[in-house]
Amino acid sequence: MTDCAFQLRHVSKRFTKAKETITIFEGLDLDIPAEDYVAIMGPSGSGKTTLLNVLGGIDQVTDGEVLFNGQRVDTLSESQLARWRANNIGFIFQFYNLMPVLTAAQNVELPLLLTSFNTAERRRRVEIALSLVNLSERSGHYPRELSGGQQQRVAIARAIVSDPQVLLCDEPTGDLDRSSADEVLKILKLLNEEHGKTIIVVTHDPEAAAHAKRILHLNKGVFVDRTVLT
Amino acid sequence: MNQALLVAKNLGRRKLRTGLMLLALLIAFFLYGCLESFDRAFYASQNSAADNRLVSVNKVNFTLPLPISYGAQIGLVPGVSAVSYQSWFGGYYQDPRQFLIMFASDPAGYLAVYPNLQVTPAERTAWLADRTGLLVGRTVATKYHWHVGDHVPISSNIYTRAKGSHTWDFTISGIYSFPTDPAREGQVIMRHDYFDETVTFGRDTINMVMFTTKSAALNEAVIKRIDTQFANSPYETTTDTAAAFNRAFASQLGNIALIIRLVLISAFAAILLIVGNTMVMAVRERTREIGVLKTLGFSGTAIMMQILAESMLLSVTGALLGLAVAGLLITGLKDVIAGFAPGMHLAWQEVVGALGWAVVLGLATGGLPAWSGLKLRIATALGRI
Amino acid sequence: MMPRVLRQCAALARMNILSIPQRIWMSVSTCFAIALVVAVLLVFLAMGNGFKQAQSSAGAADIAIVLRDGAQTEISSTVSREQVMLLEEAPGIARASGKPLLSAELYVIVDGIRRSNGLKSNLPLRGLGVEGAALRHNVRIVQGRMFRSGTNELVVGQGVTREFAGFDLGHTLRLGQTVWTVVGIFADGGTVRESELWADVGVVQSVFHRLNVFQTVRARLASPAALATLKSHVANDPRLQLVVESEAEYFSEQAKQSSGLIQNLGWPLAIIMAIGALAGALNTMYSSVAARGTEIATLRAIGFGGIPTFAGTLAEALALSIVGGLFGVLAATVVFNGYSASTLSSNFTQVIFTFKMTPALCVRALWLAITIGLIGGILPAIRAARLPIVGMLGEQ
Repeated sequence: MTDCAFQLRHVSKRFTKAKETITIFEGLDLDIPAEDYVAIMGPSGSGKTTLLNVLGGIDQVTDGEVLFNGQRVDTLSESQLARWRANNIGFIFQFYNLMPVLTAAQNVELPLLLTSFNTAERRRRVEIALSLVNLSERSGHYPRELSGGQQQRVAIARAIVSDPQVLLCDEPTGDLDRSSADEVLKILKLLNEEHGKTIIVVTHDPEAAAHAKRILHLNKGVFVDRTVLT
Repeated sequence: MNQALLVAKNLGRRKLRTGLMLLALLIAFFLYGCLESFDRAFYASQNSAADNRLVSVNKVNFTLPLPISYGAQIGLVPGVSAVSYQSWFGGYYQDPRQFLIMFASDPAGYLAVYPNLQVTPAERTAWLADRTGLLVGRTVATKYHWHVGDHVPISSNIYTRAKGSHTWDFTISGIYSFPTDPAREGQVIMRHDYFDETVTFGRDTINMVMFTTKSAALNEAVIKRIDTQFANSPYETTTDTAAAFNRAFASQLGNIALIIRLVLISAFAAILLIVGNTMVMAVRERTREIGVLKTLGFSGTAIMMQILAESMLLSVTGALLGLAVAGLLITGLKDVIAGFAPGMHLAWQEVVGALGWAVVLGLATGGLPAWSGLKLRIATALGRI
Repeated sequence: MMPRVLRQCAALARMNILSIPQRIWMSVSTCFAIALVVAVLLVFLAMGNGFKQAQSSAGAADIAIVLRDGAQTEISSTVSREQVMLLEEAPGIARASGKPLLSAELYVIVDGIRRSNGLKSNLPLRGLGVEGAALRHNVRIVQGRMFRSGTNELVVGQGVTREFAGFDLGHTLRLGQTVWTVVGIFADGGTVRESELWADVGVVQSVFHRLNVFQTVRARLASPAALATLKSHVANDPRLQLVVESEAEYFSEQAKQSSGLIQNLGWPLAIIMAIGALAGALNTMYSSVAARGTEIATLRAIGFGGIPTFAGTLAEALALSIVGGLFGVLAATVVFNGYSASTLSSNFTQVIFTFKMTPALCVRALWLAITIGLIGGILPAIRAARLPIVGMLGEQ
């Protein structure tokens, strides 16, 4: 299965806290094909955010293998991982995590500083990304001047500006009202269907999950139900 | 569990931050301890001189000569109880850089004018009997490892002997201490008769007459009598208390006291800002907890006292640490310090002063956060994340 | 590759610096503490520099100064009339119409009343020979005129009139049994000479009962190279128990000897204070890192490496310290540059000098600020670079 974006092979995650070993998940297997749109649901503490962090290379697995496009990523060093994320992964967070001192356009431009594009190319890409999330006219605004939904759309633009293959979203609508949330979800769907992005969303929100192609229910580190939609 | 425990827990929650604040406070009070004790030692001579001790010098300047006969003449002035005189010798030991604060004086008069100079009776007798005898202050003797009975050659950068030599031979008669004015332990006293007999010029002249009056109340009359007596002579005098003379002499080095004050003000201003701001930040972080404490029934005053106690504990601890380091340093470098500030030591004046400033600093740094703790409304506190 | 890392560093540095207003009071207090440290250091350096320059810039290479063998300073030297007469015939000394350009001088200490505190201080009264004033190239009379030989007239350095009362032009003063009139004020580019009173040597000798006694001889050399000739001549004549130095050598030696306690206090004091300011800088930077935890984690998740994160935090610390340092330099310069003070020299007389800030001293003081910034920034910057990503992303 070479067109798999992510493959998890017997992945375990444990950590020790106050001399007690806590197991988040044990021997987990998962394939996420390219251009998939997966929603991961589950109660608090089920390990879904940890799973997302493992996929994004910001958390290490205790056992098992994580492959991206057939290559091991769990063995990469800290700086190799940073470069790998810059090239392949876009992150979207519940609280947007925009830089308060930068304008919308500057926030979107941030990941491009990790590439070798020149200034003109960077500007062009920022414009495209902002127009994809319908925020072209807000490019000069600071985060504090934007609504929650607008801030999240800036965050999406930031995530896609360097054209990564994968978008990892942690509760992207968790802090938004319904109509803002719908707008964000519409954009994600568009990115998946029109632009072929592989999207993995961790969420509590059934409506957010409903936009995905399939839903994985995680409980105590085990997939209890795999629902395929559409 | 009581409120003191809460104060301690609050200081302990960010050990690095508390440590850094203590370091800043330590520095300020270390400087305070060192500079204030230096200041006290530097101005000791003008404060410790007995109020009935006076000096007469040449009116034009104290470096210019007076006839040696002035000593005897001043001794006859009514109200004068003891009299001595001295000449600056410009002495050095082996190398011109090892200069000595050395005077030639008459032994009997000298010991009478400075009753607080402490030597053994045997040493006193030896000095009175030996023309080439030398009385050496404790600090100097320690520095050059001199002992009673040693023969030491001492040179002058001013005077010459008959054969063109600049070097005199002395026998150390005694090594003295001077508890009331430790600066004097840095001096060396030779006999004026030996001086007069051997120098090629400057014979029968002196730089200063030192004397005591029967009572300080007589000072004014005695001063007037002496200065009038020598007015319009080729060698006019100006007479003043030893304390006033020392004060003028110390001021010649520059306004040391002002420099010390300015440095201390700078140091304290810097530390006030650093610690004050950190306290504000530390309390702001706890806004929510303070809200919770208030819902539990702690009064605003209790909260305020808690915060003030915290800042006060911090500044007093910093002050004590700073003084301890200053004390250790001053004791450890005793020999080095004796060279420029003899008798410098940390005393109760510095401890009391430092603790006073610590309280002021504690109030100043804790004041603002304590006030906001007092005024904080529960609803706001709990609403704030 | 390299420019890209630089670009990332620059972007994160900019972000950090732009975020300073969010921690404004903490940052301002750190800046201010650093400014105070820098100001204290610079004032002491400027004081030492002014004092040293007043002495070392006074000496000329083509003027010889002759002292008694073994005397370190003018005040402890003596030269007899016979020795002066022998020197007048010595080789190497320049002559004008057959007469040697030489001045035998007597140096007496007299009291002056300091304007600032009304206390007596030692001032040097120098009796000059006929050629005396001509042997001091840079001296010019700025008020009044030169004294006339054989009279009780004084000319006074402008430092003396600035710091001491009773020496203004036209004033009379009593020294011993004689009344003197101030007939001129002279300037000499701020050197130690401006701390002197000058009069005719013959008059000074008679007033102070020192007939036929001198302390030093100054002579113009035929050329700077003639110094060696004069030196060896004096050394080989047993009647001349004297030593010859160029004035430049003499004054630079004086400057070395008398850079006293106060002048050397600057660095130790500043370094001790700097440790206090460093504690403040570390506190500020650690709280900056703590406040930006989410931001830093986000950047790391996006793919920024440790180096730009480190550089950004360090840049903030450096920016604070440089601003503080510049402020300290500015404040110290505005308040203290040209400040006039005086202290006792190795000649036992007052040297009046002004505090002299120079660009080099300012740079030295700024380096101290930068050092505080570097040390105060590196440890928090390392913490920033090592901050875990997990657990820092969701917090608000």
